[in-house]
Amino acid sequence: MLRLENVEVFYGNIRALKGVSFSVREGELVTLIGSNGAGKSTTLNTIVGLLHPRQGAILYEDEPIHRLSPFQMIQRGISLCPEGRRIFGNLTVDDNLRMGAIQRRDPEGVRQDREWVYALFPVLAERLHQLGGTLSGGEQQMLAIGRSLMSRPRLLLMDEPSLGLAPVLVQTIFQTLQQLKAQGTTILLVEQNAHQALEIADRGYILETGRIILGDAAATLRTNKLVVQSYLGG
Amino acid sequence: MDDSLSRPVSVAQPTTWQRYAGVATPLLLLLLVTLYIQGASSAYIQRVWIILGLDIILVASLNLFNGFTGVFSLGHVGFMAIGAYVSAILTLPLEKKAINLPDLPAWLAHIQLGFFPAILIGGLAATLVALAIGRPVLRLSGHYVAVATLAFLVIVRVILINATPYTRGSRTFSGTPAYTTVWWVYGWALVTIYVAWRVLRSPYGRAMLAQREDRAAARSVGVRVLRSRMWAFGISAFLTGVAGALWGHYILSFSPNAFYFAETFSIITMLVVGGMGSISGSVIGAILVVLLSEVLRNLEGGFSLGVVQIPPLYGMSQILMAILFIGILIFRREGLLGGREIDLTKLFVVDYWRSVFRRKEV
Repeated sequence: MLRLENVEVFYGNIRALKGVSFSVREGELVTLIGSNGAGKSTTLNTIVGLLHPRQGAILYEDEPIHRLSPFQMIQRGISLCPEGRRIFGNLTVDDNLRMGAIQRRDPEGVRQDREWVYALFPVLAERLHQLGGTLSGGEQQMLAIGRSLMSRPRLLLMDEPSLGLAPVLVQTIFQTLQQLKAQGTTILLVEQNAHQALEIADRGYILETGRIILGDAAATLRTNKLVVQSYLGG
Repeated sequence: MDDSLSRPVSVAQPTTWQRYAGVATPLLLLLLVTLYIQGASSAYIQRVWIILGLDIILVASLNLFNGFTGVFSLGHVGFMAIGAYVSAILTLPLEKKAINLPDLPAWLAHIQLGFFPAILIGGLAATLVALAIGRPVLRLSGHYVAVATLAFLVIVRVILINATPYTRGSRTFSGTPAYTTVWWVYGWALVTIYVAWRVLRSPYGRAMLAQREDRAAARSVGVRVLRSRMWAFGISAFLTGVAGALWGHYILSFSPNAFYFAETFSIITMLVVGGMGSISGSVIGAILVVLLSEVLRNLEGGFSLGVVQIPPLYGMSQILMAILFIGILIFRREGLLGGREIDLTKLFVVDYWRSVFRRKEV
């Protein structure tokens, strides 16, 4: 479904991605693991078109997409749930969700999808008219996920959804991801929390200073010596 | 709204008649005050009332750009100038044209339009210019837009002074027919407020607010930042151009000096006082600043406080307005309304009054 081929991304003269290649198949939950500064967020931002690669190609359903804008990505069914939640603090919960559907012209479908998001996260339904900025961290993360679902993505990119959340909430968020996967959404999950990410993922890739150093089935990675030492703290 | 959710909402939703009442009340009030002023007040009060209406259009349309998109235009008075000059050239009676603007090209020299088409063309001219400069300028972020639009204002002035065949250069442009009445002004003021309100509630308005708040997040949900800013800039320039046309046909004789820093500062003060992003704030900001500066101007000539005689202090009102501006920025940066709206619909909802009184009992 999604394939990165030798992607190189620069910030000015700094090479942040040094030839990254990996793929995500339809219906999979793939996780990209790495420490701070490895280039995880850069990878996601490049896929959705916020950044553009200097070298290499990104193929989505066999179509090169690395020159397209974020607007066009959403039209193609790719949606990013950005790092640090980035919800609209001065808009209400409901308006935040509407923002996620800003490109859609089917009010009835948007209404149904909002109902669906509220069913997914009942806490949000209780906060319908509250401003996004007044929510707790966990609720904001749920809202951010809900917002990214409002464009009905077929490929959902999640950038560190567990960041700064209590373990219980992380559980909830990860359960939701599994639920979404079961409903047919393909997910690319970027995480520092390697342990839990590998629990729910089908496959995983390890990103280190701009390079993919390892890629395998999640179950295999969990027992890999290097992964255990560097990321699972064993 | 047809897309409201089916789940119960704790806030009582106003019924249709309450909504209408909320809108009709200020309209009726406006009508009554205007009729009263037209019938019973001095020419001075009538003049202040018209200037207030013009300022409401200017502030509300500036707010449509500055307030909704969060990037600051300091060049809107340039659009006002375009609206004023373009419409005045179009309505100038032919015999006056021959005398005042003898070097006008033939196709313009033999044209004389009615007020309404001239207003529209004035507004459209401003929009065209806005769209032309918008593409390079609105790509910039934050403060750079302010600087670039300020440069635009300077350019407009230089062009006005040098396009002598059309504008008489730095000399006064006169002979404009006195078409502007209080009804024209407040008619357009209502149009401006309605347009701003519609834009705010449209998907484009939501896109504007989103990119104002967090550009990266907005882009990641698929907002095209430049496009949403262009929409706001174009619509806002049109309404500002209209205000310029109305202003020109009220003041009748003007020169490029009228459209410069003083006017820019005055409109921005009103916007900041009322609160950027709030439509009702724009109206309130305009009312407060116009009334206050009129009062202060009348006191400039000196007055007596019983035993103490205050000497004339000309220019004092402008200094005090500047102090007010600084004070707002220090103590209430978000302006009086802070981006909120005054919703008169509430006044007609019984529960609202109940909650007001209950709070007092406690």
